[in-house]
Amino acid sequence: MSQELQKPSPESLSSGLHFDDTELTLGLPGATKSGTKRGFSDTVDLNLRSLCNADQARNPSENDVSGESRPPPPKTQIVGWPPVKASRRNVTKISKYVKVAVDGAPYLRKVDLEMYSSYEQLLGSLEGMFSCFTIRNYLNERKLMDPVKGSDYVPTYEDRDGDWMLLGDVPWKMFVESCKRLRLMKSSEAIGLAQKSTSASGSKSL
Amino acid sequence: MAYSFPEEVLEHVFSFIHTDKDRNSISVVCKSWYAVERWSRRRIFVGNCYAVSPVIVTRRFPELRSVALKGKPHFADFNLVPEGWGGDVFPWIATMARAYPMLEELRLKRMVVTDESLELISRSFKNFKVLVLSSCEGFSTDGLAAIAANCRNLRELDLRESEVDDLSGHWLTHFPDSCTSLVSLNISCLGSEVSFSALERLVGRCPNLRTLRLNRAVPLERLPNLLRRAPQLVELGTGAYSAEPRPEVFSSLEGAFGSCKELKSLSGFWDVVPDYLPSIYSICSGITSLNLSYATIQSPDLIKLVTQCPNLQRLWVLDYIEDSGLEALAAHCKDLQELRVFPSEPYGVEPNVALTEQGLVSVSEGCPKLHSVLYFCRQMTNAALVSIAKNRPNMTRFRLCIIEPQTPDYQTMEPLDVGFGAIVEHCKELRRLSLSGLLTDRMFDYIGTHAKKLEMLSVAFAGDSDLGLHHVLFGCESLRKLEIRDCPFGDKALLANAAKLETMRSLWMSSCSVSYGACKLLGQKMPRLNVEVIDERGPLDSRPESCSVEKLYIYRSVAGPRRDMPQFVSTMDEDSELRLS
Repeated sequence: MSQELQKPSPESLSSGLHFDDTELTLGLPGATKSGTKRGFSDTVDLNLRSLCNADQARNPSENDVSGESRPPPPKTQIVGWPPVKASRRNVTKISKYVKVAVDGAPYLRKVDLEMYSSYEQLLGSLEGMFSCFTIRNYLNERKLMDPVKGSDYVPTYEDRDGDWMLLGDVPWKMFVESCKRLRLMKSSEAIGLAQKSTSASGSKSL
Repeated sequence: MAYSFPEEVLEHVFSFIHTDKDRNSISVVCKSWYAVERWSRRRIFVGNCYAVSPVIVTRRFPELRSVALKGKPHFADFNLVPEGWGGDVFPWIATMARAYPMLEELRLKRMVVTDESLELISRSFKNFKVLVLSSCEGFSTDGLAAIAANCRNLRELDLRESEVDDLSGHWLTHFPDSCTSLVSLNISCLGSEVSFSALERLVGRCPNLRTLRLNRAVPLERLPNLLRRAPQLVELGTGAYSAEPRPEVFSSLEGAFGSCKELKSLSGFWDVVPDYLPSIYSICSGITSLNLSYATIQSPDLIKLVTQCPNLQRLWVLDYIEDSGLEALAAHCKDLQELRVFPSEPYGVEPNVALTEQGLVSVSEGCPKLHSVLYFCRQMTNAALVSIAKNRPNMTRFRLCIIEPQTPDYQTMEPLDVGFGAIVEHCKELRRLSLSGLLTDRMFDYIGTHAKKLEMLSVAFAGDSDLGLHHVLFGCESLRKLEIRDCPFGDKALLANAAKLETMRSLWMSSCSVSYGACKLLGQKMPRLNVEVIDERGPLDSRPESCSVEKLYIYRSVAGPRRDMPQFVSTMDEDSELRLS
């Protein structure tokens, strides 16, 4: 059964903005929509993939830009379908939904942190959600790039104490426990954060 | 010569008229009846908070004691309404704080409620008794602390399915020792632990407590003490129902339940361990409502439980019950009126349980009073639907969700038009219907022809053309709420039936083919409708007229276009400027 429910209208294609790309998908990181692969995926940071040890969740067709000669990708999630309320979505396991905001974008999304087991998986999924970005680890001097606007973004989170921290400072499980919400911050705003984090991270172990 | 009753007589007569519908009817008989009625109305229900303004309400009804408001459209439950859309209750609270110092009850559904609103409620209404927040969000446990501390006569605090910023469980300790008035407390949606000793003391000093819905964080070992302090309980929601199997815990539980002779409704049962289920067997014969929709136990344990509940009227359960469990239910629970079967793995590709159309057919055969159904499954046939329709002509609410969109009859590979057609044809009292599976315009023709009492219809991934939408708008005389997603419906049916929209509460259409131009036209031609386009892709005014809008929400209103729209919502009102980014 095809998941291609709405073909992009001619207007949206000609304007160069792929509206379908900004549609939220639920599902394991790596699950993609068939036939709507982003053009810029050529520039996806392959180093990120090498950091992902448990890559079972990744769909092999993720690396295939054209999507033509591959077998059909696994089923993707449609927003809001099946119609179950948030509290019923993961009865068999615990879920922790947090809001994700992006500086400059008019909309928020939500992610279930319990669906991931590492920062790389989470960042990969965020990359899929806010598809104009390539998400990289700030601490390793690489940054989130928005190729359209040319500005840098840094993944940050608000912890239980209300402080804004950079992703990656604490062990993953501790992060899931303490994270209240996520924000992809413009890197110009995040500079103070970086300094605070760097001095703090010396005392924490990963 | 015209004579009329003195006002006092009219007022006395009106005091026997209670329902909203009847009250509305008598208010339009004549001017003097309107005047008497408005002064004597004590309770009001506003199905869409944007259909009217707080000022209009307080001006017309100066003496209200009980107000109910609904905010976001129903599809907000499924993430289809973006964050920040609206539905903030604060303007209502602020106006009512001035107009109704004697307000006693507030019931809100799908609204944004901030801590500021809760604090204002707690300070403004000296005799405040009932607060029900159903699927609301925007507040934290700090707001709850204000309610607990300041509402001296609080009877009901019900947070059902709300999203609460759970800062700590400490808020519960803000109930003063002098608070003994609680009748109903529902904190099942909260994540963090409340102070158990504070909870026990609170429960112990409220002799009229009949409803107690705990949250998951209340461990099983704490339950007996709570139950012993409230043997008069009628409705109980447990916390997590799991512990190491220990005989003393079991017998303590069993004994505590045994002393609760009035219990009729049970819910909770998170993480339930089958070994502990028999602890409730002794009260099962009195149980009329059972919510096991968070209980991840398998069919054999479920069967053992439900077969002990001969007086069961309402069952909510996961699809772990399977066809065999539903057969047992049909055989033992002859009083069953409402059944909801939820999916244990809604995003799984393959079926994980042996639950098919047969389970629903069994229940429809065996339970003569069954009239309300919500059923998630992965396969269906027209024959099954026809059976169900013929078995249960008394059906009033029928919501079927076949998990994979556009699934045909798996035996004949045909659309499910005939099956759903039988439902609307035989079930003449049907008020609510949700469709799924492969459906053509023919199905909508059946609906328009037969579903004359239908008030709410939900449609997804169905239909072939505008004719489908036209059948519904043209034929369904009682239609109040219509919500549609991912259907090939465009401008024609909408514009041809524009007048119909004024007779309805609201219409939602998302991922359909309604053009921006049609929305503008509708907004211009129908001043008593608010035509709102929700579009997160950027400013609308640069779009061509033929471009499809993402989401459309149309509702009738006497308050004009709302002024609290976020950037991604634009009103197609003739007077207003379109939003620029």
